[in-house]
Amino acid sequence: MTNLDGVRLTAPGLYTAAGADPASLWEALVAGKDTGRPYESLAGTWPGAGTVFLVDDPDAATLGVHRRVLRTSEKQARMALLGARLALTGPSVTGPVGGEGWGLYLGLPTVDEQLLRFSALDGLRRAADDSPGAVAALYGREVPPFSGLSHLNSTAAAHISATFGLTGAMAAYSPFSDAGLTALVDGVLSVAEGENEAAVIGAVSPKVHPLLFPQYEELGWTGAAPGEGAAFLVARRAADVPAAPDGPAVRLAGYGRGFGADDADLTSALTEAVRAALEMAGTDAAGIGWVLPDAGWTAAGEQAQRAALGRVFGPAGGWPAVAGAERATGVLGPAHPLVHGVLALHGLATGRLLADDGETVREEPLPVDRALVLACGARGQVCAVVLEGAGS
Amino acid sequence: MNPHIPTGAGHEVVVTGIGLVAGRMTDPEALFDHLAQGNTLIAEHPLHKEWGVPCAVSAHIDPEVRRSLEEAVPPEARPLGPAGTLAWHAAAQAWERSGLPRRLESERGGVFLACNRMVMEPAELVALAGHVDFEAGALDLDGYLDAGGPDPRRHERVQPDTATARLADWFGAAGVLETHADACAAGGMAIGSAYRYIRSGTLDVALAGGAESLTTLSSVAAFYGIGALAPAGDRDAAELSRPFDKDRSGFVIGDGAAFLVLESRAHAEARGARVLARVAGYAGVTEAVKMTSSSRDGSDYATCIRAALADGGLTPDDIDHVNAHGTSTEANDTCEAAALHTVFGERVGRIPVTGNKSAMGHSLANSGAAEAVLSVLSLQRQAVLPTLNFHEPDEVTRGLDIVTEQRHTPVTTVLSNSFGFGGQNCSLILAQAG
Repeated sequence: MTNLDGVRLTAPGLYTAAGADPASLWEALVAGKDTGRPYESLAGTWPGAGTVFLVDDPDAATLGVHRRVLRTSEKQARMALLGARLALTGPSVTGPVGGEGWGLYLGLPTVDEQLLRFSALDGLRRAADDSPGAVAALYGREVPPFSGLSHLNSTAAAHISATFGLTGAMAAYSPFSDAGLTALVDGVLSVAEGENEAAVIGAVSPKVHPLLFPQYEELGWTGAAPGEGAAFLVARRAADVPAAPDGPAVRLAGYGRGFGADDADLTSALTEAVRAALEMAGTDAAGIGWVLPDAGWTAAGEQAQRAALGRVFGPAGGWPAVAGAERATGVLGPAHPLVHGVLALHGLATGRLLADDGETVREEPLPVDRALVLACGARGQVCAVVLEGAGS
Repeated sequence: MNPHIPTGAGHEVVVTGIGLVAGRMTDPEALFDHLAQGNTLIAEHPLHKEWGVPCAVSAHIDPEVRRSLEEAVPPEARPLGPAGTLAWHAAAQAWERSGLPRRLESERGGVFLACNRMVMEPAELVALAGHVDFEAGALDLDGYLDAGGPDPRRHERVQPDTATARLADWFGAAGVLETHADACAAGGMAIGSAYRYIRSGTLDVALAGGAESLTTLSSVAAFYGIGALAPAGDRDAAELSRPFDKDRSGFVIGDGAAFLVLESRAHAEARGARVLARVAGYAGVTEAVKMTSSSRDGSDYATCIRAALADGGLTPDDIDHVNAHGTSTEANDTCEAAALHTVFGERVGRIPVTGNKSAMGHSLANSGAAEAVLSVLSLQRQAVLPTLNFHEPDEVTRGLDIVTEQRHTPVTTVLSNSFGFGGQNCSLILAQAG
């Protein structure tokens, strides 16, 4: 028994290339649906596939906000706002949402971008041939209005709070996948420890942008296609969770975190994080029905996850089913493990899991009512969480 | 690894080390003395002045100081970007002063860093521009990369979590790593998060602070574009940042880094550490007004302050010094002054208030950490720093005791506020070690 037992994760909100609800993502994975789109902002042959997993940029009507909100937000903030709206639809039916008891915990990406629009770069090149003063003057003319606000990485938090009246305890973390699970853990703890009555927990991917690709390349990227999306959940006190409108509920049964500075350390850190999560959940390798690994977007991360899972599950006599959302969503950065959290919630609620055999994803009955979700951050930060059916 | 299970034991959290870099100053005491004498770190930015940038004033790091700090980073910790280098120095200084062993080698240590995102600067974009098809709106990525592309380690250097990871690895404090992105409140929130982890029994030691290096053309242009920076006008650089003064007109952007070593009192006492202060309360909350402003009546900020008092089991009467957020923008100072009136009532005129940004500018994610370090020194020295350029209050700031010269006065419990763009608010309460 830990203080996590009194908290439920519910109200999933999901916005990815596969649709705007968990069922659509599930079906897209099982059906092998092609949810990618060609990316036209890159010329040339790189990246090889030329396909990414984009979402439509939500407009003001979809977001349910005044159009001036769009001026102080970028696409990633708007994706996050839509994810939060989708999550809070159910809770808002059953009771008031917002106020001092409602907090916010977010995993946010940080991507280097040009402040100037692409169309201004030709002018920049000419100005640079002229003088630094000409460059400064061009910046004075061409920097988009409100970019000082919209480029802050916390903009998503601001708009979500303002839209839904959240005034409770908050924190925002960046920039890679571990930030998503850190938001999940700290959000649940904020409810468990009485800091919040409820916590809106979410994470968003970077918007797909030409300059994302060289940055990923620098990090040892394997070429996995990037995607866009947001995933949200609401952590609430178990006694406050109504039966139907919020959707299914699970609990965070355990978590573990670690850090591996190099490839060998990364495997050890992830192994230990998984073991710590299992121990906190009061279970062992045999108690996990489904593993949702982080997107395998670097060779080191992929190898570390495979090795760590081998160390944990190998001695137990066999691996549980392993499958994630990447085929239908692309790599989602901080949002990736939270998309997996939402997917796990969907499976735990319906007694099903997804298994990936390398060619296809198939649906199977869930043998054990627990799922393990992993995050493998680019700098070696790792996190593992065990989600458990609320009825267990 | 043992599971990080909060024990709920309510451990007391103390400060055992501080470190800081700002302007030409590379240690907290020197900075405190500098500020106590009414000096400023705000100056004309020579390059921005030469280029004709409208707000060519900032509290930037002296270039020679920056070079020496870069050289001092051990090879194993490189590469670090501009903010990471500052973070390294401040964190290493705080760690060394805490007397902790060079490596903690414990799962019960963590690193909590606040740092905002970076945008690309002109020189990088010029190289990129040669590979953009402006008609198609597309980047020839092959061509860009074949031509050398970006500096191959640039992204690693500037991403904020690089410094978090390097510090955790160097000091062997990798139990919990958090990189905070809570706008101008991030520094305070990183410290607050570390405080919660120690209080709950999850960690024994945390290195917590912030770093920012945004006195660049891109950042200045972006903040100037939204009217947030103080226009130079006819005033000297040193006079531009004027928290709570009726003629305040915006903030002055600054660089810097500041760190604290936090420990459970039991852990600190067991190793015979010198306790500098204790963390007596914290609240980090979001609000629900809008991106560009908070409630004009200060009610959102008052809620945050009261939550921090409640967290520490304190009342407004326990506070005898306020280290204000005090950005020098019309809106922020109005809201904060109103909040102080609301929370402290008629007693507000007897609580000395300091706005460090009057002399240090606003270093965004770092500001809350730097102000926490200076608050610790106020507790140590029983002295309150001056707010520069405060000459006359307006209707809302009237009645506050804005300190304009160093004041020696009993300081037992300090309220340090950080209120971010878009309503990420934080109040941290630091108290005498006891």
